[in-house]
Amino acid sequence: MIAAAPKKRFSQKSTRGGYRRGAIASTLGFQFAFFACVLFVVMELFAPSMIARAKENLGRLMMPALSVAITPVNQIHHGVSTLQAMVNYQGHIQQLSDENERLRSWIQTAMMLESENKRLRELTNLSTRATHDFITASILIDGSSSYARTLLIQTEQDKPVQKGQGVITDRGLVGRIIEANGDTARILLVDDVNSRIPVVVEQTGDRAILAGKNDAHPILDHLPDHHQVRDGMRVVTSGHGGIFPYGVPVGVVKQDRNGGYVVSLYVDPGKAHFVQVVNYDVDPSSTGRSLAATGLGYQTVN
Amino acid sequence: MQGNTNKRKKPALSSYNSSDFSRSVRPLWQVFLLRALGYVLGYGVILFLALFMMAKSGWSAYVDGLKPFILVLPVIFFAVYRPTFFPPMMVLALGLVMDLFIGVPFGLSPLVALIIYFILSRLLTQLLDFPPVFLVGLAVVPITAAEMLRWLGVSLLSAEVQPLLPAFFAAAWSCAIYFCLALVFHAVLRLISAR
Repeated sequence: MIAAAPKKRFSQKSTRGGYRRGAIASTLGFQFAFFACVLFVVMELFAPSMIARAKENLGRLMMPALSVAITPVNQIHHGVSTLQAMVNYQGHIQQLSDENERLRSWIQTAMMLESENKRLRELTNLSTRATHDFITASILIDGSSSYARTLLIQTEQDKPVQKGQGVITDRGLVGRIIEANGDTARILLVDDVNSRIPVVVEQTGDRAILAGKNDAHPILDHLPDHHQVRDGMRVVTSGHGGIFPYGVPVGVVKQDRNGGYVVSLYVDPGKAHFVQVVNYDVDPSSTGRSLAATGLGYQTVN
Repeated sequence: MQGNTNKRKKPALSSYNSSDFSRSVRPLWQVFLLRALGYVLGYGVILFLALFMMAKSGWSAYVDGLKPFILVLPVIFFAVYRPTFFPPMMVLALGLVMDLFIGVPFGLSPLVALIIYFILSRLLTQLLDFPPVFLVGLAVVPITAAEMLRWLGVSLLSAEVQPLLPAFFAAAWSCAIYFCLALVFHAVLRLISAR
């Protein structure tokens, strides 16, 4: 009687890496890596300042190599975007023509308002001085994920940015600086779940808190009970809290399906390549560039 | 007696080593070149994907935000087929660099990847019973589990329940990339097994 040959199974084989079942988990390297991760996560929870310092040093160490390595990848992304734009050029031309028509009609209104504003300022003897300066910085890394909306910008050593400073583009509000370490800084975007910005609905004067929720439309939280907010109204910063002055454009009110109010933001940070970090602590007597020069068209009144 | 026989028995080679590609006799320089090419291709692809996810795409920020969990993809593949190619220390290093720039709690991504690594290495013998094509499909389970673990970790550490939908999108995105990436990793494995 011939015994049946045992069935050949993969499970009896070792892998080419030389590890059998569970062996990798018992190596010193695995244990070290695992406990290092646990330690970092625990420290993030209980000693955030220590982790922040470590991240700052590591970031400083990594940045030169990373900025070199990421340049060709950014070029690839840029090439793809250019190609997409070329494919859709007819649509873009139509869109720009429509926008141009609208802006032409607005020029007259703006000129009329400007002269009226000037006359009223002269009548009331109101003096305005710019108390802001800004630093233009390029976006180096898109640090957004499903859990956080951040951008990493490259700054200059001789023009350092500071934690807490506001960040804008020519269209409106982007976010604020949450980490600054010499030549790089991290921006927390307005739509991040941890972002809270005091805003006001321009037409009605109703105040609210703009609360991010990691999607395109942050919500208008803490609106007063008998507010007059409607779809399409403009939302600007209220100036409370001291990070942003009054009047930085944020977006347009939109009612969601549940009856709540959300804001459709003016700025899509994904499409911005440069941002302006605004410094509000500039000495008013110094010759700092006014924020009006950024095109946002607001000034602080002293 | 039987036990002694088993101990002396030379372990059989994995399916990659028994392929026609790696069984053919080659000069030493060619073997060296193929293996070097395999390592360059493998690490190059992983590094490129890591950088690609960090670069600014110029698309909407809300599309950019739904980033796949790149770190876990090579872990899932190489923990089964070649643990020495992507060892735990490399997972730690790459994970920390990605966490540093992506903005998730520092150390969370490599921790999740190492947990997946551990589970897969414990299931190694069972997993090798499946044909590679089936394993690629089966990768949906650890990818989704990794993303859910990361979601749980971020929610716990920030003391706020994070939106679940973006995490599911990120998991789906990771699965889609994994199906293509597995082909590249299979090629890498064949190259580094060349003899």
